[in-house]
Amino acid sequence: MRIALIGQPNCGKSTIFNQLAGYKSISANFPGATVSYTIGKFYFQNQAIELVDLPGTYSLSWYDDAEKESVKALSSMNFDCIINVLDASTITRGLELTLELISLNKPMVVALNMMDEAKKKGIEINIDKLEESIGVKVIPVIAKQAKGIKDLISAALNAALPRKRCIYSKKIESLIESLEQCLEAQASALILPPKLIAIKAIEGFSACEDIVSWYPKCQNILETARVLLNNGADITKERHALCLDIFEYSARVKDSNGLQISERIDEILLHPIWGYVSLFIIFIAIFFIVFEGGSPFESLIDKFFSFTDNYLSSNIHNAFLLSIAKGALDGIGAAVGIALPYLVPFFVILSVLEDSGYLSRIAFLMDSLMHKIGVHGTSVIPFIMGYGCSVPAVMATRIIKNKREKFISAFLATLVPCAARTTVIMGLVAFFVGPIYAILLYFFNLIVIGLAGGILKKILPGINPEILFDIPPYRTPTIKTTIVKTWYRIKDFVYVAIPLLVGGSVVLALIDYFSFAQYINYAFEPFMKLLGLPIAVGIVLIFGIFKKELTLLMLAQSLGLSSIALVPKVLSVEQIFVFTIFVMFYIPCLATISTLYREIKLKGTIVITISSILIATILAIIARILFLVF
Amino acid sequence: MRLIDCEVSQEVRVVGFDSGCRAKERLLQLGIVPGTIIKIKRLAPFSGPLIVSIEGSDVALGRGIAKKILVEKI
Repeated sequence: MRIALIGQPNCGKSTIFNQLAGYKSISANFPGATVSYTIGKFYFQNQAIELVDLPGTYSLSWYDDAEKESVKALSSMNFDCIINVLDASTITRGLELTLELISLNKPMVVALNMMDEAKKKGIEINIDKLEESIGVKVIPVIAKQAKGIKDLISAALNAALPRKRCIYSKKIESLIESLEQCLEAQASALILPPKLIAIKAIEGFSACEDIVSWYPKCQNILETARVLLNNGADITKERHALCLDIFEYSARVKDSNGLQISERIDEILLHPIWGYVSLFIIFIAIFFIVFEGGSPFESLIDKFFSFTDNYLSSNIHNAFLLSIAKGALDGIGAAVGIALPYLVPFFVILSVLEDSGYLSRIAFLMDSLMHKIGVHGTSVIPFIMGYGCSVPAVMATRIIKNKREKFISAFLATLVPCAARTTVIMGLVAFFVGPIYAILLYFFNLIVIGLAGGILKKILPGINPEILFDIPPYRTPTIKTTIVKTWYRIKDFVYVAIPLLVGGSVVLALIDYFSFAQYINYAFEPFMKLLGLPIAVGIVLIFGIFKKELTLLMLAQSLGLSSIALVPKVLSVEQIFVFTIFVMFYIPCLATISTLYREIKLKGTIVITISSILIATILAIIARILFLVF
Repeated sequence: MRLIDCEVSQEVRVVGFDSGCRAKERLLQLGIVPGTIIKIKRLAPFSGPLIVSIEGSDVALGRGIAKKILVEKI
């Protein structure tokens, strides 16, 4: 038995999903798309049930990649039943999707969620009347409190086809039907049911119009229908009117008590001045919790791994095996060292931001600024996180739905100097040249990011649409949903990063074991000469790809210095600058690369990696030339 | 008149959309349908987006879109 959960954004679909399938679920990508959905298996009354949580969509016409995949999945994944989650507090809008789903003519149940919130708003819904007017079984639920969930599933198991096949007026239905029949006769292997294509094409949804235009006969019918129906606007209007009618028939609205709490919070959090002050404080707090809160755990984890390291040293006597084992251990250590102390608190916070409704408000506040570099307000999260660690930064791009924007955000987020790169900027430039120059470098970095964003915005195909989304009322996130969301995201990271980090670190161990370092340095000699850096620095940059925290330490080591304090004796101010600028921009570390691969796939990852080397090289050379000239 | 020209918290009725309004479909989905009453709730500074309130829910939209929504006084 396979059941789909579908509903508009913020309707509480995922909360229902987590109540049912919880921790035992996995996230999967739609074939050929970066959009993912979640799938969970559970048993109910001795029956195995597969529940698929599809990305939220306002209607069955899509506007972004996630919605497109949702709509396609509805017809391609062979669901035995569709559960349509409806937010009782915004029921008129939600019904639009419900009416469209009815035209799919599949067994279906409506989960009327957030009954408590509707009540607070003064909306009282008569379930029987609602059921009668839409012809589909309706189960009231309060997903947060797990109320009505069992009834929902038993209703889904016994779900019937929608009782009403025709929801529009006779004139409209007959036009839809003639186009539907034409498509049925002419076309095969359509991605959507013909009736849906017919409705959407008449309404003027371009993707469906395109499909119809492949069949000249149907195209004629479509054109006639559009003329008769006022360019299709009659369908839209009728559906909207129908939703209002259903609402009026089945619900009563009482006066709610005064200004809602959400409104009062927004008076501060969306205020033109206090809104930004609060945002700034919230960002500082998040940053502090994620990176300061994590570091004691990191040192604990470090201790554990150095203990294990010692244990290996004293128990493995074959030098070759030992270096491989140590390399593997280092890799696991690096992955765990990032995942547990930093990613866990970050994902908890990210999930709270999403579920409380504040994330969409951040998007509103930051939109004007972020729009200039080709992304929307939401992308501010990956940037801020980037100053701590690029891994959570790239993972945060998951909240961005548009493919192009997600790529730009991931690209720019990797250019933000993470904590490990900060140690290089602070340890070299601030310490040996002066703190003011370090600050200047940060400004320089911001300018480069702005420029890169501007360029990407220009060269990447696609429009940069303005924001248009609904702002949900503030809600208290549930502990269960937060834990489940965090768990998925961590699991994803660990699966992708560990093999890569272990592999990379074994390779490094082998390089060390066979004393390959000098050959690598030879190979990089021309490059180092180009940058005017000592040849021995080549190996440092290679190790930096593995773990950027090592850069500073390795630099002293490879230059044959006993401590970092001696660096100015070997490197000139010019070389310090060139090296720092290069390190600031070049290749994301392995953990970041693996995360990039998880989020934006191979091609995007390669583009970002290569571009970052190019940017770093060009800027380092420019810096060198500037020093030569002045 | 256009939505963008309205005062904050002035209630107006949606009449239609400019031709070439790419966001029309999504506006309709969000309940911004001709005939409904709509009001601007707040504007983000630095010519940022605006929040409108419609049938009890809030929608954030860019100024460019607000320019293309035609409204009338009530």
